[in-house]
Amino acid sequence: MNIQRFTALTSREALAKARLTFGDGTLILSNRPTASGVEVIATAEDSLAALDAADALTQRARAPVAPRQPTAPAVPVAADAHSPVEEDVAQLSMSTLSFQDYVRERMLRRRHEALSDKTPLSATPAQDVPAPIRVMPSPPKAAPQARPAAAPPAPVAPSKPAGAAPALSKGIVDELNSMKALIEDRFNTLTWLGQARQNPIQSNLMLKLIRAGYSPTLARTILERLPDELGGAESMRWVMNILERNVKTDAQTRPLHEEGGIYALVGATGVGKTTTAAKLAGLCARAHGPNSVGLITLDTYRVGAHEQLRSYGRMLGVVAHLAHDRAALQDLLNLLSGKKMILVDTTGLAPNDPRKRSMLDVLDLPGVNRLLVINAGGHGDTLDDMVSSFKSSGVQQAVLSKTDEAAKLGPALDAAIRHQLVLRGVTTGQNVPEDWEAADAAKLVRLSMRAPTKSAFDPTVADLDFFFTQTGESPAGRLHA
Amino acid sequence: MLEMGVHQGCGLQRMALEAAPRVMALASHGHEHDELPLLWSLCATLDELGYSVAVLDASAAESDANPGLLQLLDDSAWRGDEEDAPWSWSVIPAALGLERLCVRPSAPGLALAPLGGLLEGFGVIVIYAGAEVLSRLLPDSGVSPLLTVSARKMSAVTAYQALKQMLLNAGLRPTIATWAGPSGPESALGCPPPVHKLQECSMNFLDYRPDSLAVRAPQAGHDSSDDMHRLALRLLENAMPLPRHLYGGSH
Repeated sequence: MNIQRFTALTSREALAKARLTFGDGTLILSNRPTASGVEVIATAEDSLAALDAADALTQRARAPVAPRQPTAPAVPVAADAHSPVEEDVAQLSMSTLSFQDYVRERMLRRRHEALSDKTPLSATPAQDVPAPIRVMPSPPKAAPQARPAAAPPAPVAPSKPAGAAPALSKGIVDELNSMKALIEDRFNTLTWLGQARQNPIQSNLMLKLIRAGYSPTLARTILERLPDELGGAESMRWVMNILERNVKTDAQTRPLHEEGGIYALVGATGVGKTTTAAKLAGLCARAHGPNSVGLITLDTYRVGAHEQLRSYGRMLGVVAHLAHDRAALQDLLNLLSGKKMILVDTTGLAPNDPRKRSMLDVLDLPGVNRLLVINAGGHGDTLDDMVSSFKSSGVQQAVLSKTDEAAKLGPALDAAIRHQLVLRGVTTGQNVPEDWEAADAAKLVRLSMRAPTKSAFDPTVADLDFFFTQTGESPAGRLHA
Repeated sequence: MLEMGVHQGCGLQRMALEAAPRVMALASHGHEHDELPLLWSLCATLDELGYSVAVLDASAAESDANPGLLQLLDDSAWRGDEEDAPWSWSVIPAALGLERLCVRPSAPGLALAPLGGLLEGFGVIVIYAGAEVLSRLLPDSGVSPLLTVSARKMSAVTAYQALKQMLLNAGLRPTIATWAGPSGPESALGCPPPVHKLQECSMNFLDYRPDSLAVRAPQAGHDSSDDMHRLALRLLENAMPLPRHLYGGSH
């Protein structure tokens, strides 16, 4: 398939260039404004013939041949088909959507034109094919503006193609639509990649972000907003600034141990929930005395879990309680209601662990905040799964643990950005409670973007295409640029 | 890395240097048949939880043949022997010693301060004494003395008397435990009437509804029951820490 990109100052010029290349059978695939004017991606309509033929065979196999009267719609359509593209463009507002409608309409016209040139009773396979374009239930929005000049009022005209609609199964239409969306998405990605490759700054930044562990989705979302006029250093600063602004922390509020409250530490196995609970307890006890802290564990599964928390508690002079169920937890929360901070340690659970629901139900008590502990060194997909799995209503609070062990902080920050987590702290080692830091967005982003040693897992510029091969499904999240 | 005594909780331990033995109390009201098994189980549970326990038993008086708290207060050299003792919990006769602490001219709440130094090797000090002694030793300390009640005759009446004395004279809010020993009445497991009566009376006349816990005795050959664990942790939560730096006896 021959696809080309045309850029010009105006849509008219870009379309003219496209028509010069592909002739009357120009098929516009996308149209978007750029900093230097308008960019149009086009191909020849013949390129889709193979695709249409395949669709036709499928349609013929599934749907009965519907009798049609091609002459009725042919009159107005044939008249319109000769109207120059430029006129149509002038009448249509050239948004991407209207362009898609425009393309459909052009194809419809050309098909009708081709049908009208042949005998109505011709039984060639091509004629029997109910082309997908014809079954469009409604004509493009702009069409009524273009038609009245040349077409007589023929209310039956649109009803004929519409009559063929039931002949087509919905599945085929859906399939074609999804195929179309896929092609468009792929073209957009290829176009964007080509553009990014031509821009060394963007290309370099993309590589940096992906090497740092940020997801291609987030990297692309950021770089698409990168102003063209920035130089290399400024672009880097701009990107880091954007990342900083999107890593939410509790910098504007008091730290956890100062704020107090009831916090249930949840997360996967081995992420450091118990140690984090001990650190928070230690910090609170240091500031407000051992009597200000309450410790509860719900972990009746892991061997030695209660003993571990109790050991920490004993060092602090704090009693570590054990709750087996929701009633016991409620009872203990009442007992400890005078404490400034109550920390509830929980069993580590995998995202698809069937016990997860029941454990989260136990925590579903008024005043109990969930604090998700995330291993900063985790793989991006794993972190994504974990965050989605433990998502609760309201603000999602999290602690990044084991940052000292993480080769890359990018995946964790990426997950935090896309899932809108509020980072309440960072653990930087095993020492309790010393290795705890307040979450500092600037510092975390700086750490994530520092150049690590060469890794076998680092992509090269040539590998970038692979990162964008899979499209569409990854959640982009929200980004505040 | 492999140095002895270096571990990830060193920071916590440094912070906890100022921590000291915690004081909890079991109020005696003349029903030793219920109180002593509960005291025994409580000590065993605390021991299981890793606390070394010293019981100051006000039901036994010190003598030369049976030295106790009084001798400890008079001669702290005895303390050294106690520190070397292999037992993780000790019962110390303390009737006279506690009486002396009650009459010591000290600021309110500091009557037990000397114990912080004398018994610093212990994690928990359990005072087993009558309501009157506890009221003088622990006024407004926040300690929640344990008070047993059972289906035995007059148990609820004497328990109410002790509760009233501690609540009105010292602001102590007891925790009620209904003790069901291995051979005890089954009715004790599910909020027996004496507890209800006691709570009702307390609510009506003292405007205070005490918490109650039903405690099953551990089976023979088994560790302490979940009930005992829960009770022990609850008492620990309300225990009063003693300051270590106020070390010293009567001299």
